[in-house]
Amino acid sequence: MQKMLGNKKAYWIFVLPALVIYLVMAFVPIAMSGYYSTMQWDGIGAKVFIGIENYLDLLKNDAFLMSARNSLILAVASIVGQLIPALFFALVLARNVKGEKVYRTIYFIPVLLSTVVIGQLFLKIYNPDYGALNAILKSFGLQGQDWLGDKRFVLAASFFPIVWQYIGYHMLILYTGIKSVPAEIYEAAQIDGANERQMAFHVTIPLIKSTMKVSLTFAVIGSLKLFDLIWVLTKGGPLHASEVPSTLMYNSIFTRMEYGAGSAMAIFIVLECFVFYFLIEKFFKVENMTY
Amino acid sequence: MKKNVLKAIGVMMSAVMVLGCTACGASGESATEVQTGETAAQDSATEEETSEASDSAADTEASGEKVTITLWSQFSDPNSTDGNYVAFYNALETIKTDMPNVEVIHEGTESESYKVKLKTAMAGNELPDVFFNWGAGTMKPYVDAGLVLPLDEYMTDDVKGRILGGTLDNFMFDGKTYGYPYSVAVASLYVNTELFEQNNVKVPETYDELLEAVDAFNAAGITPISLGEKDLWPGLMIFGIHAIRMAGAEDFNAALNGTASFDTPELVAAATKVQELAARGGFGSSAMGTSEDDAVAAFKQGRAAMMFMGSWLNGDCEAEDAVVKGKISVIKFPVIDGGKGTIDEFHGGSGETFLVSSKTEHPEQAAAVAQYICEKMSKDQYLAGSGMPAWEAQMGDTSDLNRLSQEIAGLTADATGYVYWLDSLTGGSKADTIMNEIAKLIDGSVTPEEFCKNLQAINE
Repeated sequence: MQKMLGNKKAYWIFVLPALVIYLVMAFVPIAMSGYYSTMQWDGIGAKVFIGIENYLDLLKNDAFLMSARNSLILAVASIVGQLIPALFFALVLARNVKGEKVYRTIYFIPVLLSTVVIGQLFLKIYNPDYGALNAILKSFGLQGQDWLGDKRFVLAASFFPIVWQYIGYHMLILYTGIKSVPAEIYEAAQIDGANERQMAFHVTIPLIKSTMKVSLTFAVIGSLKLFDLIWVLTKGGPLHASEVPSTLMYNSIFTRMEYGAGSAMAIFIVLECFVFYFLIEKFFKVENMTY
Repeated sequence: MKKNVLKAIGVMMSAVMVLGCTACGASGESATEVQTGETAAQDSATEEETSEASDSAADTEASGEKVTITLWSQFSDPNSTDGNYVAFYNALETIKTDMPNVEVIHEGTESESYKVKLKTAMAGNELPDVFFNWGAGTMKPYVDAGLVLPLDEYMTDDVKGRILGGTLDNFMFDGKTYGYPYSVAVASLYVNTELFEQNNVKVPETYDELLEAVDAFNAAGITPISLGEKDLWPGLMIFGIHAIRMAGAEDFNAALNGTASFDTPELVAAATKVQELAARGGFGSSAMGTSEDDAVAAFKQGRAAMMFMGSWLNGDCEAEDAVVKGKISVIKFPVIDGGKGTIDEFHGGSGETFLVSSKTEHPEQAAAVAQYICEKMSKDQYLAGSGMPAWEAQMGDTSDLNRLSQEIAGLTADATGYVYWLDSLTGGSKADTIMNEIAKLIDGSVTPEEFCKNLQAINE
């Protein structure tokens, strides 16, 4: 075994198949987008090389700046709105409460539903004429609103289901992390006289830091490249108020037939995700630990 | 040395395996189309063999061999009651007996997905023989890229004689014709006469009466004009008709074609009228968040008094499940005081067609299929209550014809000018910019002056 790992060529032969698949499936498309992003191209006719003009145009594009801002807001909303409740539920459930499995399943159901289903559900809830939300408000004597048609509310209204849907997902990740902490540690803490709250903050959370980092990465990257729910709910409207970079990219390529500009947005999304990934890696350093 | 060679071979073998895997993956993606793809491939293979010997088209026809023509359309639902769908599936059925030498393989995709699918197919050079498309600006990039076949060769004088005047305009580029028309769709103001009577409101004949009606319905808690601005394109029609009334069809067309400016006093006035109408509550309180489907539903259920929409709405208004069945009337959009447009200028026209791919193996049959479907649809979609016909035809007994279609036929009898749908006319980024600017106008986040300047910017 030792001999084989030392053999660089054998190493390459075994790594190569996976590496080639990875390159063809992930890096080639990104590289192609990078190439297209330097072109003025309608997707059909001739390409004209225009250098970084598409990127400069992005900076002057109000809709794009709005979308980038929105994606950052969503990232923050996801961290606050998903991870904190998820951590709370995970901590509670992992303490062997009654009906643990039932609750775990219930919290996980939104993750199992298709995004389109959730989108349709919330379209009905938010509908200004017959939606449940306005009906409830009216029964309290409050005025109903056009939740997805009003610039003031659309961002909150469309981000709510996105944040809500994945609470169960992060809960499950954190829950598994907590479950893998050995029982002896809690026993020791108990003997030392720690209460439940102290155990959560001083034992569990420090020990599941690496799991929390995984959750954090998923939450942030997921927010930055979000497409589906926004597309179903608002398509980025009204007037780009709920636009995120992916919906604008789709619109550029398929509606406006500006393939170059759309590719520049795609490259932006890739870079944005990389930057945030490395930031999380840098500021959330976790030593490899064994219990 | 020998060992190294063996290792190199090993590396190559694994590379080949990997490439094999990815190739499988790629073809797996288009699994749904494999069947048609394969038949097409076989077809082209046999075609190549025969075409070397002789001119294939005539030959296969003479020998009675079936030619397969692939056809894509946005008509995805065979059970739809939309007049165009009904007519299309009729034509698809009758072509089996009327053109026995051709086997048409149809693939329908819902409108929005269809546009994306078509563009992807064009980029990948995988266009079907015949495909549905919109005319004018939407079609132009395809023509410029040489993807569609000019049909002049197949358009004999006899055929041309049967096509009604003006219906080919949106399919012509540089003097060549690329498509046959199948309908003339016109937008008019649909009014719910029952709601007008119940609320003692006069059906508007002037623009001021329209505004009075808006106020009256708002006071009664009824949406005056149903508008699904969430989908953006419905707003085009509202601005379109205001611009036609203020600037006249000729001047507005010139601006849209880029030969005249958008930044004129007339168009600024039109934009001002639209914005005032919106601010007055003309479209209710939630137009920005209402989809077209919801807007049509509201009108069908009698929750909105008016709707300015294309003639495809006829079928919906007269459908069995419509609360408003029999209570709707269509009128010409009123003229606006001080405007250059007349009451007989209309929004709409002929602009949907079937195109033939320039890469088709059977141009003659493909053109014949396109012609057959368009001519057949022209009559059937009229009888099904959609648009006006684009071909001369004996309509036979029209007593069952949709009441609203007959009314619209009466309205447009003296038409003096048309402006086609703004999005199809301009296409691509121009259309998207116009749609977004109109949404801003209705929302009140741009002034009419800025609006016209922003539109003019796309002409420059």
